Amino acid sequence: MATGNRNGADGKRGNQSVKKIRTREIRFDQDNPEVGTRNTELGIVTYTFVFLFIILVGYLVYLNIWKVDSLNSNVYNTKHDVNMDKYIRGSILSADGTVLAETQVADDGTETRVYPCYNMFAHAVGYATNGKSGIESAYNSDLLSSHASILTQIRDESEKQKARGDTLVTTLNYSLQNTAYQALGGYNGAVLALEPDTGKILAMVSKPDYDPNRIGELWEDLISDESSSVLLNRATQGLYPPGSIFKILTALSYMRQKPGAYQNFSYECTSELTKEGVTISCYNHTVHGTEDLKAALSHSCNTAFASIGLELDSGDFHTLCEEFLFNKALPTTLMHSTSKFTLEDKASYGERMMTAIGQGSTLVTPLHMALIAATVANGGIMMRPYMVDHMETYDGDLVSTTKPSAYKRLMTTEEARILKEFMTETVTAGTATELGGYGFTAAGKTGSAEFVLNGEEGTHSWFIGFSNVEDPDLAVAVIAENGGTGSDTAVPIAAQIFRTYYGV
Amino acid sequence: MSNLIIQVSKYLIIILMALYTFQCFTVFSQKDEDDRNFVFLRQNTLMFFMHFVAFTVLYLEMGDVMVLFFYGSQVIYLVATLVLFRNLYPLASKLLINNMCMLITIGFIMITRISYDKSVKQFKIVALSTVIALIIPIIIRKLRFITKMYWFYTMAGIGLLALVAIMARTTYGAKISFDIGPVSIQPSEFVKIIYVFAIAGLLSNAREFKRVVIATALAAVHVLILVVSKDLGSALIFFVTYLVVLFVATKNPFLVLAGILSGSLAAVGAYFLFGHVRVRVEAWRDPFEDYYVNGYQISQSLFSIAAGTWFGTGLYQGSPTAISIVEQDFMFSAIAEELGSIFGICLILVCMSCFIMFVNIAMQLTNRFYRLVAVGLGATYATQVFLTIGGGIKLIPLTGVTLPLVSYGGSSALSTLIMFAVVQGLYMLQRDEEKKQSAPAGGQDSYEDYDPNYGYPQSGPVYGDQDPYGNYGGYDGYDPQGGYAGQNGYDDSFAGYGDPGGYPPYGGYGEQNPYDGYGGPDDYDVYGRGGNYAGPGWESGGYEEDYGSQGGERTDGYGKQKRSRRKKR
Repeated sequence: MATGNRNGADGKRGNQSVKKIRTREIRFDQDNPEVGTRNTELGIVTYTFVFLFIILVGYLVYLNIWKVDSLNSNVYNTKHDVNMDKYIRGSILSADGTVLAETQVADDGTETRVYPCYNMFAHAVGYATNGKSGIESAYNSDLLSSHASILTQIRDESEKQKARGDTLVTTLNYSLQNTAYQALGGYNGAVLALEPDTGKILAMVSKPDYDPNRIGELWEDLISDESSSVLLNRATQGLYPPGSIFKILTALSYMRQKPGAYQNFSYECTSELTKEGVTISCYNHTVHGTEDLKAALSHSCNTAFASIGLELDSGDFHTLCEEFLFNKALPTTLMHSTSKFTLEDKASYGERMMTAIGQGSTLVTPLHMALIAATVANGGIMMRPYMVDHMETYDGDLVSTTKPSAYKRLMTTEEARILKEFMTETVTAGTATELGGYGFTAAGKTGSAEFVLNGEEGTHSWFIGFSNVEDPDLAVAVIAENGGTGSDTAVPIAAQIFRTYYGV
Repeated sequence: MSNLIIQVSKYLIIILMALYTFQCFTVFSQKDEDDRNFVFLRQNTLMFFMHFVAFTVLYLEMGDVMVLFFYGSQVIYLVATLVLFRNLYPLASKLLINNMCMLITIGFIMITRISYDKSVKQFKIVALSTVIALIIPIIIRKLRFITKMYWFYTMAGIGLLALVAIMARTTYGAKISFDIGPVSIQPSEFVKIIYVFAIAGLLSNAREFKRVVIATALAAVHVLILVVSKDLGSALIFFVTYLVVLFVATKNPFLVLAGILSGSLAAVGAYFLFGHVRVRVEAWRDPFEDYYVNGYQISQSLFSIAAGTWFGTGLYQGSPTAISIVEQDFMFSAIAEELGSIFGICLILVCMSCFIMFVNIAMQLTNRFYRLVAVGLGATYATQVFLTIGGGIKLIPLTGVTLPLVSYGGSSALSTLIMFAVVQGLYMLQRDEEKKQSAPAGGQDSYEDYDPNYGYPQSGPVYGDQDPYGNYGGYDGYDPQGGYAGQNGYDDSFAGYGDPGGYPPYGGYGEQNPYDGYGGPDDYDVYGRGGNYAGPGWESGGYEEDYGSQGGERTDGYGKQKRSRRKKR
């Protein structure tokens, strides 16, 4: 073969392409391949590893640009605790300047975290000892770092003073929070109020509550009492059956699946619907008679929606709910639970009917429901909810401002308009008429979510909705645990919040 | 005031490191050798300056005079290392030596910050290891047979690993180290080196498929023992190194693809078979899911990087010690926290520069066995860097390996220094052999002109002069006619090679003869790329125009050579 090679090379010198092929052959066929090494392989090896190194660099850049904030606010992250020796924890203020949390330094240097509003902001603001929660946890690193000028910091250092961490000014509105807190009264549950077009959270109440000033002494009791779970922020982490408020999504799914038919929807309500041994009945066995989709929603007719549930393709319904962030994280850094929607293609008729009216195995958080109401109010675009409006140095210089940002368009303007119309009907002629007559328009949906706990049956009272339908100002979600029907308990609470907002 | 110094020093350290890194890649744009040497010296200055700034901060924070003495000893050590290597081995790659010292310096700084006692221990080990590393090239040169004992290495490697698997102490769930008196030794660190010699030896004359099968089986035994010992990091390093050497030896991408495929299958199998593999993968997927047990380290590592962001917290301003065994497996995260991610990126690039220098030296070696050893050691190094940094930043699951020369750990430091020294030694060995050959052949003095510091590519035709790293792409565009035109003329040298009279000893060189088979036009590029011929007097013409006139002579030489080899068989 070697001789052949030589002859070939001689004979074909004029023909470059053939010669090239020849040399390649020689390479592979050569009976002594250790000679005549070429560097191509080494080049490939170099390329490969250089590529891997570049990936390392790229991933590090990615971490620094996109992951740093969520890592710094991770609940397990205790990195910034080292800064406690260097900085006095910054203050937290409401949007109108009321102090919600501040650190007072005694003459001997002892620091005490003081919450002047006691229980009212307990879950929203959180606590900073015995672990951390709420804003205290999410913005821990900001509270324990200072953007004060270098000169101020040097002055502090020379005077052996600890620097003061930055101040957080929240979006929380003191009077609205106060109203929500008082209105929920003795019920366990949650109230959440936010601006639909910005995502600013104006009120966040969860009950039962605690006094964050006394978290140290209360701690043992709080964590040993598992039944009431006082520390849980029900507004963001409580998981409840949605009841009839879920019908908004059932109606939307029906509109999408039967684009031609939903306007002509008509159902004869006889207060009961039975399919394969499962009976769905309307609340109080009311007979709603013949109704279209709007009337069915505003009267919260269970049988009409159960029949819709039988018509819906479960897979598509599931897809729609996941688009609306069921089984997914909400677009926020606030710590929250994930709402659950489990309906599958092969679901039984009973399960489909139950799911369509918000019973079944669906579970939601009040924050999530408030966001869905806000999405309808905002013409179909969901805004990212947030609680800190801006950060200042302790002496008042602006450090950074949170800008409202849209998460996504979840429904078309037309779909939002129709749902708004349906929800307005609920207020004008349905289950939430108590919201009328105060000089502002409102739209919403009530829910009476039945539950069984330790063998006892009860009904959670739900309301989600928004005010000033033409250009919505405020979206709310109210849940009063075991509060009866939505109309009885949740709607009056929502009414008080709206009235405080408009001062009427 | 000290707070201000710490804040300023933080940026200063980053700037110094960035300049150093930049010069790792731009130094070869300097055409003149003196200019290059000047840049290498400047790199040393930057390194010492950075070392000084860092230890100023460490002293301010620790307030212990011992730190100053410690700093002094480190400076003496670094100066001695630089001076000794350069003078004992004038032909060694200066960039590689600079990088080696830079990595050691970064290690000193960070280990001192994490634990002064450990740092002192590490310093002693590194100093001793450097002495060993200094004599390695001499040993290789004098006792060259030791590089050929690959069957022995194969058996010794397997034996040692098996011994570890059976007898070793279990550390963090893996069996990796022996205690001998006060010292704990990680044999896998040293097996790594002889393993490379073993597989390079087995594959360097992989003429038949059978040989490849045997080599593969023996490499697989190494890897399997490591998997059983739960030393997944080393197992992966051994595996990747084998694939790289296999690829370079056989030039057969399909074998490598088959290797990657079977490796992936084995990885999936390991995931389902071994709990400890599953745990690592789960912790990688979501470290916060099982935060308190398996996700703790990687979570803390991520928190460290997030706490540091681009510019770092400054030395002593972070809390890298929250990561357990930070000084070994998570050194990179500690660096990213306190010195910043920009510094971290520079560190990655310096490691990359080391790797490129390894391969570059491999390219200049014409002896097949040495080439495989050099590229194998390079792959070992690069894989280890990738695994430890990638694991720390959660790019890949954690494998628990150290960052060579930077992390705390005697075995790792010694074996890495040996690795660096072996590669330099191989190059010198080759030069010795070339000298012997060139003596009877005559006219070979040009080899003497080669200087590895002249650049990665040394004005080889495909690289281009200005961007030594950037133009590897030229490989694929290889064309025996067009590719050579211009930069390096071959006319004179070909005449020398082609002269049959000049090559009487050819046949006798046997397999180690680097000139063997020089006749195929395909083979010229070794010299072109390695740049061994880039003597100043040879730039008269291009390959293209000289090809015809040189052909006859060369063919004669070639034929003669082939004949003599056949006789030998």
